[in-house]
Amino acid sequence: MNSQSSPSLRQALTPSDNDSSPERKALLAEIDASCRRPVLFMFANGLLWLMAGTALALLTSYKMHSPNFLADWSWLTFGRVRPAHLNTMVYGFASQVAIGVAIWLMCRLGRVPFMQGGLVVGATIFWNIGVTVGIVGILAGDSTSIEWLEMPGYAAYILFIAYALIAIWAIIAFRFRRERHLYVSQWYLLAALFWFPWLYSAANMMLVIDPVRGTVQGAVNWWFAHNVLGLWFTPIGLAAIYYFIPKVIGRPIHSYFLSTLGFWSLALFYNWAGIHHLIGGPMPAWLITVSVVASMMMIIPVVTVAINHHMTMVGHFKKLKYSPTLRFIVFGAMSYTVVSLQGSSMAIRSLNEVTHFTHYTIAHAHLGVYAFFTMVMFGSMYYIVPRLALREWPSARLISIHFWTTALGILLYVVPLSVGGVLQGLAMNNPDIPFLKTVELTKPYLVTRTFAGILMTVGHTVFAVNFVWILARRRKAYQPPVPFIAAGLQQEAGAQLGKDI
Amino acid sequence: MNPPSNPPPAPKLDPHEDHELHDVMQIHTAILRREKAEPQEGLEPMPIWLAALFGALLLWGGYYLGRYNGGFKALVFDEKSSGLPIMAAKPPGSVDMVVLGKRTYTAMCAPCHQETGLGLPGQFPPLAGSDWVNTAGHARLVRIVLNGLTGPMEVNGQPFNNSMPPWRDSITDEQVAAVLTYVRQSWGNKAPGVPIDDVKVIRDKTKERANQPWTADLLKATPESE
Amino acid sequence: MKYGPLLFLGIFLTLASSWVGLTVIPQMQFGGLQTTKIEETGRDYPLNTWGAASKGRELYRANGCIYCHSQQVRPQGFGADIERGWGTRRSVSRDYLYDKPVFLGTMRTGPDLTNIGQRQPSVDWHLSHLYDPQITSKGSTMPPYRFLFEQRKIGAKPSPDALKLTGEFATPPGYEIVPTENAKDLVAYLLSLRADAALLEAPLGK
Repeated sequence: MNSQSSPSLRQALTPSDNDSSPERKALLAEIDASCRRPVLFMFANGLLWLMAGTALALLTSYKMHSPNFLADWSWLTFGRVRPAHLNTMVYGFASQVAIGVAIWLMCRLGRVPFMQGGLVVGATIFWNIGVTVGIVGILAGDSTSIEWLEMPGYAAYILFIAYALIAIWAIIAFRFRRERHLYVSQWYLLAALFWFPWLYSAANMMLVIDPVRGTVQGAVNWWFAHNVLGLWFTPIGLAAIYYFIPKVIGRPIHSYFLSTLGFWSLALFYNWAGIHHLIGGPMPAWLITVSVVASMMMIIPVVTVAINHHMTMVGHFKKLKYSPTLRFIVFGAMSYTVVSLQGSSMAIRSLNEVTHFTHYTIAHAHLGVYAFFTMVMFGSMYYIVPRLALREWPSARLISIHFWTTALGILLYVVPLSVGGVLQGLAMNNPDIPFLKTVELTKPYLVTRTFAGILMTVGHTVFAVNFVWILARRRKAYQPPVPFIAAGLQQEAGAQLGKDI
Repeated sequence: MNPPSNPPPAPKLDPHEDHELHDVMQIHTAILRREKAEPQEGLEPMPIWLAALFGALLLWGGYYLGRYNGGFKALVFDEKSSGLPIMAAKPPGSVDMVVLGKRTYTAMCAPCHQETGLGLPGQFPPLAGSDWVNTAGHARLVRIVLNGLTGPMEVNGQPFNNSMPPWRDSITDEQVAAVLTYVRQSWGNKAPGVPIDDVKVIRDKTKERANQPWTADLLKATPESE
Repeated sequence: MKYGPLLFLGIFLTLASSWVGLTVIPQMQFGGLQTTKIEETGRDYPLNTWGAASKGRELYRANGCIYCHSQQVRPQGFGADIERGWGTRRSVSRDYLYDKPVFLGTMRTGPDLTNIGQRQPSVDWHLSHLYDPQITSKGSTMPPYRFLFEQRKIGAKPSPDALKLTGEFATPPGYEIVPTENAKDLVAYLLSLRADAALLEAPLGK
């Protein structure tokens, strides 16, 4: 791996068209135009689900410490609202926005316009019908009670068909790419687009449509649920990070070798880690041990990717001040490192003995899906939307509020709840403490979580407002880019801004 | 730039937007102009310490998998062994009766009679200061635990009318003795403890009742000492 | 990297490996596990749930009880499940042969329910607790399931099923709270939960 010895590799890694010629700009404009309708449509629907999911989240959180709130209608009982929240966020918001980002990245990196935008808009409508049917099904009492797969079978069919109709076009964009060199983001995207339908269909086949017997269901359940995060959200999140950091700061990613090692070790290990959710449970010892080992092996891709991202950023941290994209993306990238190393540690049997069955796990899950993945998606949308809507973000202040409420919100969510979870676990493992005490001692942390939720709700609302505003704004010949700094500093940073958003 | 050999097909834009095309390109250029080139990859080598760390991890993983695989058998759940577990013969006297009594009470009794022994007014009778608990003999209490009790009764002058389930098939003689001793000596109760052997005797004596609960009248009819 | 097909092959093989390793092999290894005869009682174990209990099982599923209650006892020496009286032995695969889906759960906001039918067999207690957990367990964060009960005017004769509510939980005079069939089914299911038979692979106390 000597960097001097490989001029041919250097040549192979350089895109053939990285110049600023008018032809190239025209191609980019053409690609953006082709993505405009399907991707914006996905983002808009995703944001609708984000707002619905946020409302469900607040309700769930509030019910956890005030169980009498809205308890008399079966549709809103805790055990239905909670899975409704999870499924809204996972399938309505996160997956939909992820597909939008994936399509745009695929086209940009392959230098090829998106085909069949209209058809994909139709398929997206179908997807949203599927999510609606699924959520209503859960609230009505048709939940499968299989974690991460609660949507009833009839909704799962709709989702799968809709997904196939959408993803096929992203893969076609990959197949007919004009740039032969495959950038690291494309590896992750191709993998995620292929892995998800396999996971989703296999899990539905083996758990909902024709269930396997006994605890094999547990193994399939956690193979699936863990991999929704590991092989669906994570690769798309990493693809976005790998694209936007070098894109925004204008510098190559640190090391191709680290990229390669990071990708293949993730592909190799992540998918074996899921059964660590059942440590101590009725699973053969070997199955759990295999997952514990795989979880620890995840340190390899995580550390590799962290170094790769950090070394790319080094010397450019000042740009976090000007670019909302970069700010969200870097926050997400750092969270990815933290949450992954935390996840590996939670698979160690002696730590798991304490944290299993507690709020610590819930905090961990939100650190992954929100602080890492959702923040990366927010950052990506800040970059992509102006290029598709052909307008600048109308309000820098709203972007700033969005960042700080969500960033502080998720910290206020995760840190106290993790502490509460550990205390809960320690108390639970002491048989001389009555169980009810383990419930009571967590209450302050649950109340804190509700406050954190309110902060994040403010952030989401502000983002939605900015999003509607940018779409509704009258298109002018040219609008100056919105500076992403405190209002008073705008002038000073003006020159910088023109380049870096 | 190398133009692709096949010229790309003209972008299929929405026909309604065609009249905007010129304008759009102009605006878009402003956004695109400040955009940096598409990302590419650098060629920094992998640090050697990273390779060492990964080597160490792989070694650990191999060791752990070899050590804790339970022989890769379906029915081995204990990662430290590779065969079926051996029946644990409890050595006599290994159980601390005080601890056993308290834990059994917390698990089985406290939901109704509460951690405080005060019960729930009108629902579940109190054990603390109860005239049923603070008695010289304990046979009646053993009978209640083994078979349960249903129908109207009076505790400390308060009427109750509820059902206590039988515990005959759920807890051992040791547990019955321990929990009754705990109940008779907690919350200010000061009655003598209950020996395990007495529980055995009564369990045998009442075998034919199976799981049929007592009524208060039936219990009052049997002498307290038997 | 330039070669799409090669990349795709790697992507395919990695997921295929864990799909086989974590789902197909377990299915082959213990997907066909059979019931066993318990020596002392001569009965098969486990038994399928039927009747009211199996209807109650559907309510357990529909109302998401798994989000707060696990159904798995960890072994002696790992956590304090056995010391807490949640079971007399660890849970093993055979305990779940008839469960579709399995309600293993991953959260214990509330206590484990593997053996709730053995630990808490009182129907009255469960009904009061479901109607309002504060009656029996003050300070609990479990939601009330009043939608499984019916408040109605006392007719010519009070219902024998009516809950005995006093103090702050008392019903207005002339009214009574009666469990619906759903409430009774759910309790029947809870009372059917019992996994304390000694098995070859899971002797008591381990």
